[in-house]
Amino acid sequence: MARRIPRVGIGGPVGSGKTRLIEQLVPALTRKGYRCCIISNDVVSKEDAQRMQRILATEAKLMPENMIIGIATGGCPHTAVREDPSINLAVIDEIEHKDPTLDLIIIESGGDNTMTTFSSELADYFIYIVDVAGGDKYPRKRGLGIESCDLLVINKIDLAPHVGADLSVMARDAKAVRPGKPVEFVNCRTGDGVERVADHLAEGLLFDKPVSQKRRKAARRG
Amino acid sequence: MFMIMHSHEFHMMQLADSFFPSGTFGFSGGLESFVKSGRIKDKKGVLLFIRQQLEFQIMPCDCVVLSAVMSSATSKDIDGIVRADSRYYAMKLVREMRTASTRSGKQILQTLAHIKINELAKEFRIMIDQGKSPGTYPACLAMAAYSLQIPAESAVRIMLYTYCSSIVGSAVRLGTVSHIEGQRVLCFLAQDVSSATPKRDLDDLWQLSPLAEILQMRHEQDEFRMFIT
Ligand SMILES: Nc1nc2c(ncn2[C@@H]2O[C@H](COP(=O)(O)OP(=O)(O)OP(=O)(O)O)[C@@H](O)[C@H]2O)c(=O)[nH]1
Ligand SMILES: [Mg+2]
Repeated sequence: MARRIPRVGIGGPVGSGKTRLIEQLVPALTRKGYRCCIISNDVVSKEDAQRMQRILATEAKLMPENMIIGIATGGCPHTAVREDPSINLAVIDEIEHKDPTLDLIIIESGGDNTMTTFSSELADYFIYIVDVAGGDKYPRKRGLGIESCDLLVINKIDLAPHVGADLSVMARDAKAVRPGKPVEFVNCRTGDGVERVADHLAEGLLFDKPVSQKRRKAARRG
Repeated sequence: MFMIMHSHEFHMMQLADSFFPSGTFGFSGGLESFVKSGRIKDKKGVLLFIRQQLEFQIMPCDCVVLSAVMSSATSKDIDGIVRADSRYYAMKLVREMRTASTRSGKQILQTLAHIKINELAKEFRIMIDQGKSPGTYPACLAMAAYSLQIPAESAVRIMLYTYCSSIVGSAVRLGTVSHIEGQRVLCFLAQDVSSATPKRDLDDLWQLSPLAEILQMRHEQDEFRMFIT
């Protein structure tokens, strides 16, 4: 049996920015020296996988094209990552045989409702991403995804003024709904805040020292 | 008097349940392409599609392989199991169907390894892991049934039933039939499933469904799709 490569699952409602987050996250992780592979579950097309192949493989040359794999979900996005993750697990098995030296597998779920969670057999770390345009009621309205994820990401903060979303309300409610667990505010269009998401992964999934701490130590030494 | 259920009857329900993880909820077996190309529009079309697939692919090919694997398993003949598995893989012309079949097959045995697996099925898993056998769906389902002490005839019916119910499930999700029509289609298929008596000899293996195969191949290239096959 090949080595088990750490896996992060990314879930969230339709259009909340899952794919865009990955497109920003991979360069950030690459800068830290990690090599990743992506599995993109998509509800009705191969569009997201093809877009990432173009942006991350063809243009940025951060990974080979065959390390970005699209899976159709038969219209059942949560089934594919929770009740019956067989096909995702089979693909992971193939990846682990192909390149056991990878540091991380990123799994995007198809766009779904706020109850989405990943099977613990499939993902070791779970990021749930919502966007401010869904309304600043969102952390407060709860849902298993929002409550149970390891990291809650609130995206599209650039849109907050246009949709009347109050970020401080979202921060307060996220804290109340997820005591002691992290939340990050990001703009996946510009990449603002994505470095911090990468830091959480390095620390919480790959068990590396937080980069900020490393930097501080290096600064002290220097 | 209420008869006590044999444990294999329980495992039959477990294996046939769409909740059993096998990844098949994402397969439409070509139905998606038939619906998109306008060839299938309603419950009559869905019923005919399933009947033809049963007659020209599933019964003469999948069922024969499943029966051959079970009979090799009974005589502890691992070479016979590998032969049937490899033959099935070679006969499936559509890449997407082959890949889906082996991905599903391997995961069935993976789940089985955590519930109840016997030595022969373990040995078969190792052969698959080493690339010595492809690990197709009918072969792996046969080994699962064998490990759970399900009789061969029942294993055939499990495969036929799960095929029918998964295609009907796809038709419901594609909007081609309603939930009630779906159950009616399944009832029409009861006779087909219960009267199946597949051969066990690999020399009897055949299949012929060129139109379905062409549409299954088109599905591989389809930009907008909901299903894996
Ligand atoms: N203004 C703004 N737009 C964003 C931001 N992040 C993503 N978008 C846009 O939102 C749209 C949806 O983003 P995706 O990354 O495709 O969302 P997704 O969650 O992967 O969508 P599905 O997989 O289809 O559910 C795209 O048009 C993005 O360009 C952001 O921070 N700000
Ligand atoms: Mg996406």
